[in-house]
Amino acid sequence: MKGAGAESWKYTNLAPAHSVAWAVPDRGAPAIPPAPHPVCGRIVFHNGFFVENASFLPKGMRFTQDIHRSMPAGKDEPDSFIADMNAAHRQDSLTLTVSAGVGARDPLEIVFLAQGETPLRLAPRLSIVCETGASLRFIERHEGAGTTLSAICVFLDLRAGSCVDHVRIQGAANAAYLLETTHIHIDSGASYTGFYYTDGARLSRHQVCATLDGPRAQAQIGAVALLRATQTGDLTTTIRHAGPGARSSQSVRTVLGGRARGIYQGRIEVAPGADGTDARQQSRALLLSEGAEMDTKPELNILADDVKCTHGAATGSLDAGALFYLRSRGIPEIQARGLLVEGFVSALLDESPEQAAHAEIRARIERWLGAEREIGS
Amino acid sequence: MLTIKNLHVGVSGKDILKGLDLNIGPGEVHVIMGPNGAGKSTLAYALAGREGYDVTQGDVLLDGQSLVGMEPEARAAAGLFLAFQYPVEIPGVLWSTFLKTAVNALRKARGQTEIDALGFLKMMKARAEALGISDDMLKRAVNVGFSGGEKKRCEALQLSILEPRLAVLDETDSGLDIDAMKIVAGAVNALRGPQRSFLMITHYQKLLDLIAPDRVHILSGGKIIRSGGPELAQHLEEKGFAGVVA
Repeated sequence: MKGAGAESWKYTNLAPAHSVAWAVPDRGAPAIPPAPHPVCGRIVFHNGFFVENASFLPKGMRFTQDIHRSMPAGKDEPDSFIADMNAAHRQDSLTLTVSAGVGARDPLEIVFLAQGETPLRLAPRLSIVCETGASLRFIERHEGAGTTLSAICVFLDLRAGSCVDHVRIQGAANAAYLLETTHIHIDSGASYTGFYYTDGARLSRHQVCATLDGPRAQAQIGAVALLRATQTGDLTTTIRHAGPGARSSQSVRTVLGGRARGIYQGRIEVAPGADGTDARQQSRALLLSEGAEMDTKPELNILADDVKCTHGAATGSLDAGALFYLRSRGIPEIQARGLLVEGFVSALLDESPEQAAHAEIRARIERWLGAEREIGS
Repeated sequence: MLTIKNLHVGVSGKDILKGLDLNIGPGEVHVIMGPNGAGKSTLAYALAGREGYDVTQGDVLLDGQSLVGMEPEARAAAGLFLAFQYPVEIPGVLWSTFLKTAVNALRKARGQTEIDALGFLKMMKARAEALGISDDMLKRAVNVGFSGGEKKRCEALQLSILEPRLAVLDETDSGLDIDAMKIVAGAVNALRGPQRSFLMITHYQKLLDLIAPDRVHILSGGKIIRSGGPELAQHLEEKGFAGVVA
C-alpha cells in the first residue's frame, strides 16, 4: 500500500490497514435488502461486484458494463492513491447514462454493500453521464458488515445545462476502511448539489474533485460527519474553477466525540481566465470530548482576476451558555447536549434540496446521539 | 415559598453575595433593585444553578427543599424559572422543538405524562399570540437574529408556557419599549396567583407601575440593605441609589 505517504495523507493514517491480509472476494449470490425509500431505480454493488438482478432503471436511464471513459486520475486530484488502488484491483465497472427529459418522482439509489466475513479488498467503479439538459437525483449509500477495504471511484459527467442532486450516506461497518473518489466534471450552465453524511467506517476518506468548466456552472457541497471512538473521517476536496463565471460553495460540519479524528482539506483552484469566479468554503467542527481532534487545511490557488473567494474554519466545544440556558428550562444535560449537536448540523441538512433522505439522515443523527449518550461522552 | 438564608456566593474566588436574606411568600411579587455591581445577576444565576456561581455559605429553600447543589434542570423541575437578562441564541434549534422538549422534560421529572404534539402546538400558539409573537418567529431558531425586545418577549413566553412556582425575572424590562413592556407586564400579571411568586430584578420604576410589587428590596455590596413596600421604589426613583445607600 504505497503512495499514501503523500502530503495530502498527512492526517489520515492508513497504516493499520497494512497489517491486514486482504483477500479478493468471490462473486456470490448475495441477498440484497430492499431500498428504505421509494426509488425510481437502483444500482447495487455487492463486495465490488455489480448485482444485476437487484438493479433496475427507469425509462431514460441505461447502463453499460465495462465501458469506462478514461479519465486521467492524478492530473487534477490531490493525489491518485485511491484511483491507483482501484485500477490495480478493479472489479466491476459500470457506466450509467441519463438522457434529457427524465424527471422521475423518486430518486435513484446507488448502493455499495460491503460484507467481509474475512477481510476483503473491494474496487468497484461507476461512471454517470448526465446528457445535455438532463437531471438526476440520486442517493449513494455505503453500508455492510465485517472488515473491508474499499477503493471506489465514481465519475460524474454533467453535460451543459444538466443538473445533479447527490446525497451520500456513508454508514459503513465499524471495521471498514472506505476510500472513495468522486470525480465531477460540470459543464457550462450545469449544476451539482452534493450532501454528504458520514457516521460509518473505522477510517474513511472521501476525495471530491470537481471541475467547473464553463459559465454559470455551479457546485454546492454540504457535508456533515458525526464520528466517535477512534473513527477517522477525512473529506478532501479540490474545486477547480476552469472557466469564467462559475460558482461553488462548500459547507462542512464535523462533530467529534471520543478520540475521533476529523479531517477537512479543501482546495480551491481558480485557473487563469476564470474571471467572475465566486467560491466559498466554510468548515466548522464541534469537539465533544478532550480526546477528539479536527484538522482543517484550506488551500486557495487563485490565478485569475475579479475573483470572489472566501474561506473560514472554526473548531470549538459546546457553548456553555447555551447548555445552561437549555438546562435552566428543565432539559436534562444529556438531552440538552443532543439538541445543541442536532442544531449544529441541521442547518446544513435543511439546505440540501433532496428531501427523500432527510428523515433517514435525521434518524441516523438521533441514533448517533443516543449511542453517544450511552457511552456518556 | 422561597427562603434565602445568609447566602454567600463566590464567582472566580471573589465573594459577590455576602450574607443575603430574603423571604418570599406564596403569591407575592418581590423586587430587587440596586446599583450596578451589587450582585443582582449573581443572585439570579446562583438561584438557577449556573456553573461558576458557588454557594460558599447559607441556603436557598424552595417550598422547603434546598436548591443548593442541585443541577439547573432539577431546580427547574422543582419549580424555578429564570428569565435571562441576556437570552442565549441557539442556532439550529427551533422554538417549537425547544419549548416542547422543555415542557415534556419538566412533566417527566414531575411524573406526569408527555403532552401530545397537537395540544402543545395549540397552547404555544395561543400564548405566543397574547405576547405579540408571530408564528413566523416561532418557526425560527431560538433567539437567533432576534432583537433585544423580541428576546425578552420570548422569555415571557417561556414563563407562561412552563408555569413555574417561582419566576426570577432578571431585568426583563431592559431593552423593551413601553408598548412591549406593557405586553410583558400583562403576561406576568395574568400569571399572578396564590400559588406563584415572582422575584423581579430591575433598575427602573417604570416596570413597577405596571406590575405592582408587594415588597421592594435594595441590594448593595452583596446584602439587602433596606426593604419596604412599593413606596421604597418611589423613594429610590426620587433620590437615586446614592441617596438611599448612603
